[in-house]
Amino acid sequence: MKNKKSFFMISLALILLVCAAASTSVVLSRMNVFLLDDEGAIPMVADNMLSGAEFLASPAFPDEEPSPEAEKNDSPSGGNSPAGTKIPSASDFEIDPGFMVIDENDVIWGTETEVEIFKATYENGEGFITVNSDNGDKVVAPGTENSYTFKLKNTGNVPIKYVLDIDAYITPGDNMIPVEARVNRYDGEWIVGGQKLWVDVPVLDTAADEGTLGAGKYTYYTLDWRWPFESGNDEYDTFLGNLAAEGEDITITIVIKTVATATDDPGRDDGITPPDTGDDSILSLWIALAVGSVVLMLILVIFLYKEKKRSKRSEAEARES
Amino acid sequence: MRKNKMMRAASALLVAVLLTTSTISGTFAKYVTTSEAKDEARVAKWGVELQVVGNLYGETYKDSIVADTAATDEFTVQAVHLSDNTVAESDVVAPGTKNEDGFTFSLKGQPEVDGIITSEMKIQNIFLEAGSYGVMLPVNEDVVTEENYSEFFEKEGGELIVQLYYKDGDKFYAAPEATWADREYYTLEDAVVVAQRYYPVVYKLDNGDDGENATDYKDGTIAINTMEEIATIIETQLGLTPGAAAADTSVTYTGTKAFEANDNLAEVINLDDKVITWAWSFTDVADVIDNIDKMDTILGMLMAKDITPDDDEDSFIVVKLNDNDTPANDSDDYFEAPTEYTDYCLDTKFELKITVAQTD
Repeated sequence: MKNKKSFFMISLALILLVCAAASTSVVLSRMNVFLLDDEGAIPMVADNMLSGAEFLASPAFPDEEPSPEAEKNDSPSGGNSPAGTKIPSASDFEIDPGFMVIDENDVIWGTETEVEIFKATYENGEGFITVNSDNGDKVVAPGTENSYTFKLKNTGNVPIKYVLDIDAYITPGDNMIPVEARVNRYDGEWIVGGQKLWVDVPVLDTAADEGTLGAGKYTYYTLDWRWPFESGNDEYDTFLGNLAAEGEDITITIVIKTVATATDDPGRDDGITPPDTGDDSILSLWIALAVGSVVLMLILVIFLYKEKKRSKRSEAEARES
Repeated sequence: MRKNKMMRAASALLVAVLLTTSTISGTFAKYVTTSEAKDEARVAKWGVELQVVGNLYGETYKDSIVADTAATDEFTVQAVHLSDNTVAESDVVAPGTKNEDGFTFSLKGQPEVDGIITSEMKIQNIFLEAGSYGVMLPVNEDVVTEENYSEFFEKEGGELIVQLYYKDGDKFYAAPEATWADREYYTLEDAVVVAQRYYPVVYKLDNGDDGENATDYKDGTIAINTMEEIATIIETQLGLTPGAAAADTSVTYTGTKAFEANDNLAEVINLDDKVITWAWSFTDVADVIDNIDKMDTILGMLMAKDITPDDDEDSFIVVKLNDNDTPANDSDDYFEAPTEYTDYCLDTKFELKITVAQTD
């Protein structure tokens, strides 16, 4: 009887050990995905902190007028609120906004981040370098071209709206470089230019767009530029190249800015949803199973140890008697 | 016991406050973030310098050197029309002329892009082919008569004092001693035997800074087509290929040479500040070649014949001996007008066209 009991206890301990190990490995393998997604995300910063009274006095949605009763209430936890409005409380929803811009080279934009719109060397269609800066500076020349793609990601759990603006200019300003460009969005919409339409630098300077992104969603833009090899004005192209050789640098600069803010409409869900990996496992259950297995196993081990100790003592007492 | 309970309650309340505060503070702020990316580029360098300075030939020469036609009216050599002695607007060369400043060309630069050099060069040089030449001058019809015909066949030292010729069609035959005929007779003047092809104008290609311009005396190089030697050098540097000689003996070279971004063209092509000079000197100071003056005279007579007005065609005729190489029968030999571009060429030219372009 005693042996059967021991056998049962040991078997149960082994089963719990296996459950603990399996659930721990599942949890750890899925933790990795979440960590990478959050890495580098720029958290939304507080730009207009309100006191508790101000918060309660202001409407939850900007279009609504504040109620006079709400101005008298000083509770930080949102007790009295303007009639008909719902102020989220800690028990309802934790706002965790986030926004990030990342390009095709995995460069995350910050403030005046240098990106690879232009290059120091260019290759032709056969892979041979045909343009090569002599000092590492990025250059443009007849026949050079490039495409630059960047992604705007809503890494938070609330919708955001964004504004995109492009500045483009040539220095010194009295020269013109015959570079032309176009910009399009992921859905095929042309922000400036078109499938067969290229615009010059002053027009690129006016390019702008805005939109919204649902939580966890993203959008992307592609900027194409080129300096046509056969622009029809070889004389002017040669003139620019000779000026450069004489040390008179003529440069083209492109600056792309994005500004993201919380949207007035929390129901907006625009943007591209990241591809579903197919893993819809409920992590909390796995964590509970892992923790529970470990705890039960520990209890069982302690119980078995005490049982053994007690039986030894009984045997010793029986021998003495 | 009461104190423990109080501590526990205080701890629990602390945790609750912390949790609540973090949640509520999250709902107070307005969220804004700004990101900015920037890039700039400069125009890539071209800076290819292709220069051609000077003229090889001139319409006029003063003191043997190419002179500016408008600058002075005291010329030693000048092209004129024989019909009316007016100045001919064409470049000339003549014995005693030269161009020491020459024609300078250079190709240099270090562009930051790939490119290709496309060139075309055309050369032509004055020459007199090997053979026997002379000038047939008509004898006045009163000079040779049936009565005194035999006197023209008197000999001195076994050689005829005067050899008469007569014209049959376009050929000049030696007049037979035994038979007089009522026809026009000629004598052969300025006879010269050219041992090998003669190039009177000597060309030189130099860097222009070592003083070694074309020699102003003949040194044996007149047997070499020095223009062709210069063309061979340029041909190698520019990747040219000669075509077949044209009917006028000019040869056109064409070709391309590619270069890569940041190549120093002066080093790759090695045609930086090159100078071509030439000279047609009067005499052979080295005394290597015989009959320089007579060969120059033949060429000069050929040039004069080339521009002689139509109504004065028979005043003199430059001829070349057509020797059948049958010593046993010299009666088959005859003189006839030499063929232009086969027996002689009176033109010289050097043309070089270079284009440098970026490649895609």
